[in-house]
Amino acid sequence: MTRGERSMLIAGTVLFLFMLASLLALGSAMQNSTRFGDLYAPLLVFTAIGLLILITLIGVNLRNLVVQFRKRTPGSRMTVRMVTLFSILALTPVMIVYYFSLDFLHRGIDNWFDVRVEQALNDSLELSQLSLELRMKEVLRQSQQIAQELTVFTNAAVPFEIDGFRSRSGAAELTILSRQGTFIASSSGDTAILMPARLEERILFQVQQGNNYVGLDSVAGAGLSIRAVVVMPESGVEAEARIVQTLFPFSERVNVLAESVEAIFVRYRELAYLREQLKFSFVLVLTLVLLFTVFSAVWAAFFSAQRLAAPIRDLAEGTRAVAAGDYETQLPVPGNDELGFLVASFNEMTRRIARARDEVRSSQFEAEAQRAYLESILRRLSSGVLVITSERRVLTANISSGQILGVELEVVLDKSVDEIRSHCPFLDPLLNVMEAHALGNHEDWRDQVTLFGTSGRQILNCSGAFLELPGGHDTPVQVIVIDDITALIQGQKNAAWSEMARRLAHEIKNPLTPIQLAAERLRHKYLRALAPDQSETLDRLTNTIIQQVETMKDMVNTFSEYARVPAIRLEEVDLNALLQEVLDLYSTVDTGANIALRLAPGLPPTLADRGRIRQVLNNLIANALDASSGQAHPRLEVVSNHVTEAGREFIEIRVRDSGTGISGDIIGTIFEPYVTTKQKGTGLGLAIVRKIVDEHNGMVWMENNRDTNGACAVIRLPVIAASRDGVNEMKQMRDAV
Amino acid sequence: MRCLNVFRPNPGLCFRALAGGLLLLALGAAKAESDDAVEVLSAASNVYDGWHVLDASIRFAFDAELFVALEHGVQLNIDVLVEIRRQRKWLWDPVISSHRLGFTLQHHPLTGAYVVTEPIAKTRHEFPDAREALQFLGTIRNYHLLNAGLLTQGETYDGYIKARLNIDALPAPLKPVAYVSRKWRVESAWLKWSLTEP
Repeated sequence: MTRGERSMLIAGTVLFLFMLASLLALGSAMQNSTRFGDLYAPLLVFTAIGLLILITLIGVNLRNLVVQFRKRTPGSRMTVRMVTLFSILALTPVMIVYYFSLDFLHRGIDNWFDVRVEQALNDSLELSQLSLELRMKEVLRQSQQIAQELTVFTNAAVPFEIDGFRSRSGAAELTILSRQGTFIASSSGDTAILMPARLEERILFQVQQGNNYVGLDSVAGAGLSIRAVVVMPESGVEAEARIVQTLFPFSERVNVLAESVEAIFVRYRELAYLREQLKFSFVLVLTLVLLFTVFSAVWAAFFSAQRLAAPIRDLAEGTRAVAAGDYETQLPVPGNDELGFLVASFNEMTRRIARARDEVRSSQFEAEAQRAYLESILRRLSSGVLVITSERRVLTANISSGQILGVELEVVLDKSVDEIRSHCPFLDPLLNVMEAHALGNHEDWRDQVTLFGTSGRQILNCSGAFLELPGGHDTPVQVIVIDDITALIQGQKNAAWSEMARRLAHEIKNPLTPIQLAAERLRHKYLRALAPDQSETLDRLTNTIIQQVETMKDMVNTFSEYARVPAIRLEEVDLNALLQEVLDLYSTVDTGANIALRLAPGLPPTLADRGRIRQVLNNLIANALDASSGQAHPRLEVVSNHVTEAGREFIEIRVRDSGTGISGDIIGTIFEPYVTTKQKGTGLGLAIVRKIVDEHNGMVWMENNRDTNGACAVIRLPVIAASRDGVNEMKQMRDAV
Repeated sequence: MRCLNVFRPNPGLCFRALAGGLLLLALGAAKAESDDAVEVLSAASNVYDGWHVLDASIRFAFDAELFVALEHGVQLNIDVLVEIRRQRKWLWDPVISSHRLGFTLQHHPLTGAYVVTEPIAKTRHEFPDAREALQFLGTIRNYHLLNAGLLTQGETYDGYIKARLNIDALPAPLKPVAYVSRKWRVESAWLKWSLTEP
């Protein structure tokens, strides 16, 4: 029980006890005015105030209940039902008792009064009055006789005779007065009485008019007595008329009977007169008792219902709080009853849930820490890591994966393979490999994938593994580790080719000069000494040796150039201008081909080594002219474009010839050293092109023309802002390569 | 013949009972007396033999219902209240002497007389008529208020007098009606007179 409830209960109990005492006192005052009679009005007022307080309390409770009911507060419906039930249970018997009490009250009060009793009382009073009148007549006659007899005495003699007259007549008091009411003589049987009974003016006036008076005097403490006042006849003794007053007491028995009759009559008459008021008063008190009982019961019903509903309301609110995630909710235990047990169980449940929540939270923190640790490692890992769910959706992708694949992480994260494929078609080879292994037997795999993405040709070393992950993934996820080994392989190749070229140049170039010198000496020494037919043969053979040695020297020089790694000098280059410059040289030479140049306007600048790019262009144009040789109308077309693909900008240069094209067998390896379709040539021209383009972080490939004969060499160089940062970036990339 | 009064639920009576009870609250705050049922016609005091002696005249004009009640045996208690107050300029006048002259008026059916008694003085006066009895009650002669020596010379004193029917002394069943009925709430206004210095 809360402090407020306890205070309310104490206040209610005190009010109840005071009102009960007030009603008891009111009832007592109704029955006997001597008890609480003076407090009748305050008691009524107090009771009415108490009722008003109860009505106010009930009104406040009712209003609160209505508000709670409208708000659908938990427990309000139960409170309404309980209040209604309690009120009906309390009201029904009380109303029945009230009804029958009113009935009995009315019947009881009405039964007090009986016409015959009333008539009997009236008769008894009349009888008493008649009896007294008879006595009064006798007293009047006796008094007149005394007055007659006293006429012979003078005023001076009367005091000596009056005692005798009084004692003989049996009067309690005998007084002789003058006509004006002045005392002349008096005699009393009670010696304690010094003054005779005063003659009232109205009686004196009546007697002065000549009318005798007889009446009843009710003297307090002495009972009834008859007062007779008669005029003494005038005589010759005294000239002035005198008045005789006699007092004759009744016997004690008569007094008792008379008092009894009068008291009963008065009481009965008073009760009869007060009958309706009596009913009204009793009904008032009974109604007050009824209202007090009803209001107390209703208030008690409110109090009890709310007290009973409070734990349930608390439980409902606690349940809501728990449902909302507040597991700290602890409810006050109402007691040791079943509700108390229920609330205690709820508290224990919330404690356990809170404890479990804390443990889960702790585990989550640990998992988050682990994840953050893992992500930190993944972020700093140079290898790309992709995690793909069985639903073919990318679950995790680290930064390196985006860098390696050349895509933003948002493009792949939480995206399906199909979505990635549509956004980044150049990732098809990788996605195909991943899907092929996902459809397989879920064994660890390792594969090499070549991409032609925005950053050029990439060779990726991919390792896949299928892992069982906790937390809702029934099927294993595929974890793929991607390493970009393009630079590594290219470096290895370049190193190998360079080493081979260097060795070739070194091993071949050294004996070439003695061979050439020996052949020239042989020719010089024996050409003239031999017969003409033999000298002609010698001349032809030595020339052949010398020419072939020259050819081999050229080849060795080419090898040396391939193996040479000069320092690249990056600068801002306008490729359109460079193309124009290179093609201007060919315009002065009769190549026999129709050379067309189509430059894209507004081509952005790029960072490049002007000399080496010029070498690339020369090689490609020369290669194209060679490929077109033998054609009736050879054509050469050089085109520049600004291409944007997958968010990256490139400058694309296409060198298209009208030759026979390249067979599909070698078109993928045409840029490898010693791969050539020409009868003559070292097979290093396109390899050098590839090497220079790689140094510029660009791409180069060969494709056959779709609409016409011939092939097309395509170079793409990235557009890099001509800033110092861009230069540095390019240098870093080149150094890494 | 026995009076057979079969009970019938009387909501009006219940309502009146409740209304009467609740109305008492209002009556406690705002009295509603009958203004013309009693009136102090005159009051004056003189110094006689070192005492301030009061002579007053009060007119009682009770409603007929009170006389009916009187004839039916209800005893009426009539109080005459007298106060002597000292005048002050800024504060209320303090009461230095108060008197309550209590009288009872009763009807004796056996003798047919109306008896006025003064319980304190134990005097008893019988009248054949109720109005004569009230006339007697309304005549106050030579009532000794206080010794003139008790009053401070130089101060001004006023006398106040009023008469009322003491309804608290009525029979309990009659009280609720008396509390709410103007006929029974008989009380005069205060009548003020100045006390003369000896």
